[in-house]
Amino acid sequence: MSRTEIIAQIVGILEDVAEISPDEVTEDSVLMDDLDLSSMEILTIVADLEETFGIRIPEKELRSFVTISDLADYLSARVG
Amino acid sequence: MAETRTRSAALIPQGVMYYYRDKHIYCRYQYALRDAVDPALLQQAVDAALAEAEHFKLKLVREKQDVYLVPNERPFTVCLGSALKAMPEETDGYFFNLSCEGDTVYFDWFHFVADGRGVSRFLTRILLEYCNRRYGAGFACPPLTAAPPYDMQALVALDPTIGQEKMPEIDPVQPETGRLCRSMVRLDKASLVAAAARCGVKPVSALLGLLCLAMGPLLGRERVEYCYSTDTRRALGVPDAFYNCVASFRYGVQAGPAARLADLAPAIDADLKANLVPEVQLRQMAKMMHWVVRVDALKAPLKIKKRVFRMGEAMGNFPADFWISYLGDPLDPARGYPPALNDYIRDFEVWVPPDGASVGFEVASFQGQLIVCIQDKLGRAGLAGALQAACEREGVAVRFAGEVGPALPHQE
Repeated sequence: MSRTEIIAQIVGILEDVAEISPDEVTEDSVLMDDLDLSSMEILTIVADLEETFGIRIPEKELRSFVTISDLADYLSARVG
Repeated sequence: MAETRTRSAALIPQGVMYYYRDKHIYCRYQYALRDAVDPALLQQAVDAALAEAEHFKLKLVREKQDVYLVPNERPFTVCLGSALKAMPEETDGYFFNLSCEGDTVYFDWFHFVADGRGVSRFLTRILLEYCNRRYGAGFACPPLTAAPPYDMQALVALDPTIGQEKMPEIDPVQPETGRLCRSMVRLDKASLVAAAARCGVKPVSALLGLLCLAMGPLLGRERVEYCYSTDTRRALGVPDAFYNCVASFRYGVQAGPAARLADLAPAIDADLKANLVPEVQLRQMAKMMHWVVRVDALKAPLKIKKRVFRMGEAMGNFPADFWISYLGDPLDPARGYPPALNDYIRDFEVWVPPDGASVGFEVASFQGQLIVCIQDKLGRAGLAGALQAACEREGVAVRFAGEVGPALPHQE
């Protein structure tokens, strides 16, 4: 799966979980500050991504997901 | 057809966290009595106790977007044998089961319905009722009071992390995944109390130190991390609660091969005492329950909720090398139960699988012993022997140490 497709999946899940319009999201968007996501929303998005991509993301990685790009990089390295 | 009977409010918020765990947590208390158990009299005893404890006479109703509890109208039936059954699937909707074989009564329950402290008052009542029928013991059986649910909104308002949305820095312990095994160590209580006094700590702190000393070499590292739960009934003002009322804490110590009890016990004791302060307990419980309430409110499939709950536990730093649950006297004499009940009970064991840890230690104090029932996923033998060696090195007498066998069905 290409990085573009991965980002499209992330954006879709963001819209489902937090009702954020795809227009508001860029690769550099900071999850908590720019998109105003709560920790609960971030964990729900991660859980949804795990389901979508059939992977398990170790909890110790969660703190490193600051931007959309961080999530995309992590997923690209595993499912790309 | 829609369920129209009265819903019980007591259980769902307090016990729902056990729905978000990967596995159902089934617990077992077993009491060896003086003589062979009479199943018919045990049935009468349970019927009498259940008539006094509506909390245990409930069943779960699942609807598309809702889960709740209503009274269970089906009769409860005592089983013969020692098999642990799936609850409520194999128990007529009940969240507990009672069976007997030989001189032993097996009481099993799903953690969803109660914690150990909550269930022990109900079980002691069954034993009183039984001894009255079997031996004419003449024990008083006054009404069993039951605290109403606590105010969840008031509790979660005490969460000190409200508004702090940053992901915490965590140091997760990866629990081992070997086949679950049971073993047991029986300690002489008087010698443990003496060892604790030598270190100037509470006996339970000395016990924790001994468990760390046993675990360090087995894990092959010096740092040992453990979690423990404290009872919050008094702090919450619900001393008669049957439902789950706990605040859990994690702590770690250096327990390398050269460490001695006196090196570890003071820090362990200080941590424990600090966390037994009611305000600290309430803040911690508020933090835990706030997370449960937030997961419960998620509009997401159960599978996603379970995963989010688990990630939240990890972010709370809960996975540890071992869990310890100190039950104290299972008959709960502080509640005014007659000491003479001890005359009819020969022995006690408690079996609960470790949840979020490699090892679970369940400890009861009974008739001069500390009975340590161990379930571990270490994948190698030797834990009971390691604990025995640690105890003997510190002058704590060991009456028994050995393997018990594989895990019970539904606990593995």
